[in-house]
Amino acid sequence: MTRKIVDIAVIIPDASPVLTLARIHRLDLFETFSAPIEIVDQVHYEITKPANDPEGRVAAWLQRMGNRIRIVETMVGLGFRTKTERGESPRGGSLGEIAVDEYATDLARHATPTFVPLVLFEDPDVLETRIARLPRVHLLNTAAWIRALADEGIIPDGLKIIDEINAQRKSPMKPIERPGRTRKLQSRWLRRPDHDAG
Amino acid sequence: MTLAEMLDKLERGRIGHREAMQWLGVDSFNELVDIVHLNGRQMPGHRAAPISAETRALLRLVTRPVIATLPR
Repeated sequence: MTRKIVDIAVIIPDASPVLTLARIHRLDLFETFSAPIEIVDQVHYEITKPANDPEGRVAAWLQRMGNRIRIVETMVGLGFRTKTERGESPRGGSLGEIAVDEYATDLARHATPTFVPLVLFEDPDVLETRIARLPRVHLLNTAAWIRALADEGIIPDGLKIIDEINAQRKSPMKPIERPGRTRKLQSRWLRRPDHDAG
Repeated sequence: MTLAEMLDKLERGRIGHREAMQWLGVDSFNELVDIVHLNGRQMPGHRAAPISAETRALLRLVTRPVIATLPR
């Protein structure tokens, strides 16, 4: 049986997963990923700006992760930086979302047919954006990701972490997942070990 | 007893759903379940909706166990 090799990257399209785990000192959870993590430049700006990272936890985490995190340059982020360097104060409100849309457009046009984007998000608006409509995209919010890590025995304290996250929120975070449509690829990806002919 | 304490007791099965409904002042069991879920808890004996096999399979491919002493 021919195996198809899938190429998976974790894409973080909004600042919340990083900021949520930074608040509870659990950014180490990202270190469980063996796949590369991609963050667009404008979201990188959001997670590292002093107002969101007052104690420098995110900056230290980014340094620790090194090249396991790729900061994706976008025209939106480049424009924002250029204006900031000129001394202007561009409104940054929705630029992160626009930058992610730009990257999603690029992926839609140029990604290989075996590329599987694993999108880790918190803002439910992400479900309405272009990145959520990419082929083979697998969507997972922070709560579902932590639950899955605990279910798989990758971390021992998943429920405690979710409790800690919820203690910082007005309403509890409900797990959201939307598995990718990977009909052509699932022969390898979803095949159970006992059905795996190798 | 606070709401959190009551929900904790309910989740652990230390009080019954009738007592919880009385405490909350609700008449319907569905309403009780809604309140429990909205507060991030489960009814005793219930399990949260399982994470799909697809997600678990994907995570098995792209994760490795975290070492407990990793610096945060």
